[in-house]
Amino acid sequence: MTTSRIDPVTLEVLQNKLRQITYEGGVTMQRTAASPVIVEAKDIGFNITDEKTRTIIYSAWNPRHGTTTTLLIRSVIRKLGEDPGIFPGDQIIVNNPYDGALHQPDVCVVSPIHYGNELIGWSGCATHHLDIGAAAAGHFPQATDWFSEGLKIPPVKIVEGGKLRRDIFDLFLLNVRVPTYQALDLTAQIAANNTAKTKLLQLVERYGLKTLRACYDAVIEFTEEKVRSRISSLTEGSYRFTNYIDYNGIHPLTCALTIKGGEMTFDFTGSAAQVPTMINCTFGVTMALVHNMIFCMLFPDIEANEGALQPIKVIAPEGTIINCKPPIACSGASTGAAWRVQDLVMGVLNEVLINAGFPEKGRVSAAWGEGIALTTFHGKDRNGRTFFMNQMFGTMQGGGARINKDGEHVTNIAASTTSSIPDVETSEQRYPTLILKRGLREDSEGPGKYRGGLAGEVSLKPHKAQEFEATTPYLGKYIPAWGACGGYPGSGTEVIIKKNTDVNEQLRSRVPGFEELGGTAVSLAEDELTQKLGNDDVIYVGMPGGGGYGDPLERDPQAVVRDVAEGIVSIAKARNAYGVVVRPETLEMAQDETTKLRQQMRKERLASR
Amino acid sequence: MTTQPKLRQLNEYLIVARKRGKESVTCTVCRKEICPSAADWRLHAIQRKRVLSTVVPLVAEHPRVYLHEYICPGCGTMLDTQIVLHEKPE
Repeated sequence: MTTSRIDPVTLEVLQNKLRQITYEGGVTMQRTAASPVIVEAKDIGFNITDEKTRTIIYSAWNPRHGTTTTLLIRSVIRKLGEDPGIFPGDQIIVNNPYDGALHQPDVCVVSPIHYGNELIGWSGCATHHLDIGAAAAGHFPQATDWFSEGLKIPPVKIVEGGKLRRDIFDLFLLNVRVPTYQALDLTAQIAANNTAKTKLLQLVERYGLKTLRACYDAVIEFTEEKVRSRISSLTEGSYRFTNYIDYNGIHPLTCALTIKGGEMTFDFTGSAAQVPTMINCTFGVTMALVHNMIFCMLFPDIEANEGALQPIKVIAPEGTIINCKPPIACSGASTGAAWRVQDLVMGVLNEVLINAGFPEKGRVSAAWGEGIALTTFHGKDRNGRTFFMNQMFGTMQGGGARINKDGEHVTNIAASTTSSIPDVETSEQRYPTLILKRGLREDSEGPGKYRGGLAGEVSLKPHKAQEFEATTPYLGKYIPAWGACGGYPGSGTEVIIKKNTDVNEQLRSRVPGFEELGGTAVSLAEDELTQKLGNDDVIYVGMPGGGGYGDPLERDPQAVVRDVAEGIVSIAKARNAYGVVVRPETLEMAQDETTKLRQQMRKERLASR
Repeated sequence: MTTQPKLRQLNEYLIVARKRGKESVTCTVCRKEICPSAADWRLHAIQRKRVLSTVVPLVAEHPRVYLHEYICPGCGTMLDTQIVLHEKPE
């Protein structure tokens, strides 16, 4: 037992200090980067591993980067470790999904940490870059293979012996559309690693290398014990959940979970073959999202590190959407197949947790908004300056309802609660755009005894732009978030453009709603190519809502009335989905009519036999 | 009401309970015994199949995407819903 080599107090102190180092790495990024994706949305991953690449601190920021960042560190060693070798002061850039990246825009910078000449660990810092030089800005909706998806970077030294390699830095910037922002973002990643290195070396100076290594062993060992014990408390057996992903067709995905002997196996055999679109993901990504969900649903109170992952096995047949082979496209992985992996794991764990009793049972959840609008805008502003806008509002999904409460409105990046959405004022200040509305999307919730959370919706127009183009791939048009235990699905995703509107005339007196605008509306296909927008055109993006939990006819009628009063649910939906009659003139419930309507709806259900 | 010891919870409204020595899937709202515990309870619930977009607003119409509703035959409680892709429109 290695745990005897370190006293518990020192162990606790060191573990908290290590976690704090990863926070500080992320803060360094936020304070030195330029892109709103980092500065405001905080799409940051920051890991620390030991010298054997065991994850000691699993992304303290957006947890989706946790497993992938460690995979990238391992890939760096595998590919560069012997030739040319990795030395003190080196940092390595990598974004190849087949090396472990979530998708091509998620660029990772990896740094070895040496004490003198002795390797004592690694830090890895990942973030989403605004552009990666694909055939269209941000993402290429019609990519069929990775050659049209932009720059692929295998592990390459970007810092050598402490000195920035100008050749590699320039190569990167020459291939992306927003070099002014991305130069700062990339150097911010290097700075973040430097922060972690400085802080870790301070720990070694204070506590000694032997103690730090004993800490590494102890935290992993303790965590594995706790996780095995938690799994052993669950009902052994086999569980299965199936769902679909909709992009250029509807493709089935399935997950079978086996719990046995304190271990869990997630097997995705039976999922659809890889497809020539951007939604596929690599095996590392599938593994990462399984890990992400088990930390959320099974072990939220246990430190996430290598020890927690030992009893977890993932199986995904090669050549499928969830374990794709090069050169198939996969730049939409993080919000495509990866998101659905998360959803499948949630579905299959629900059945386990509902039988587990509280507190585990309290984490049962309907699906969170299924889909995303990957909408980005680019062009030239009034002065002819190039701009690229990714405000991540396509991530405003509604949260799934829980076993004992309504879903959260407008969550963010795949249910990551550590990220946020950039400010409207910042957007209008930075980019030639006018945001007419960013708010809650009425009726997007999945009905239930506990309803899903509302998604967000945005409508905006170009503002005095010389050129303004939108790239608009999206998922979730046909397959919304599922409801659980009798709850109903939430809304789907929708992107509409109205051309030649009267928006500028109406703006002289008021800010019009999208539905109040004249002009010709076109609902876009999910893989539409780039759209040119004029100053009279308006684009609307509606995000998907969260699924509901439990029978909607069991929802407290007064809660439905409150939802109507607050603009969450329309009067029509209150009646049709919840069986609650609300008087439009007073917004009060019609008691007798509601009782009769609910009785009638139950009768209709029974009559369907 | 007869006491039916809960052996396992299947979802919000369904448990496996033992009564007179037999284990059955039972509705917790009306105590209706839906089927033996070894059977697939969904096959014994009332099933309604509807095109999803006709049930859920703000979802694009697709003729093969259905919502399957599983209803307690005793009390009409909605036990579960599933999104299902049919091979062809029905």
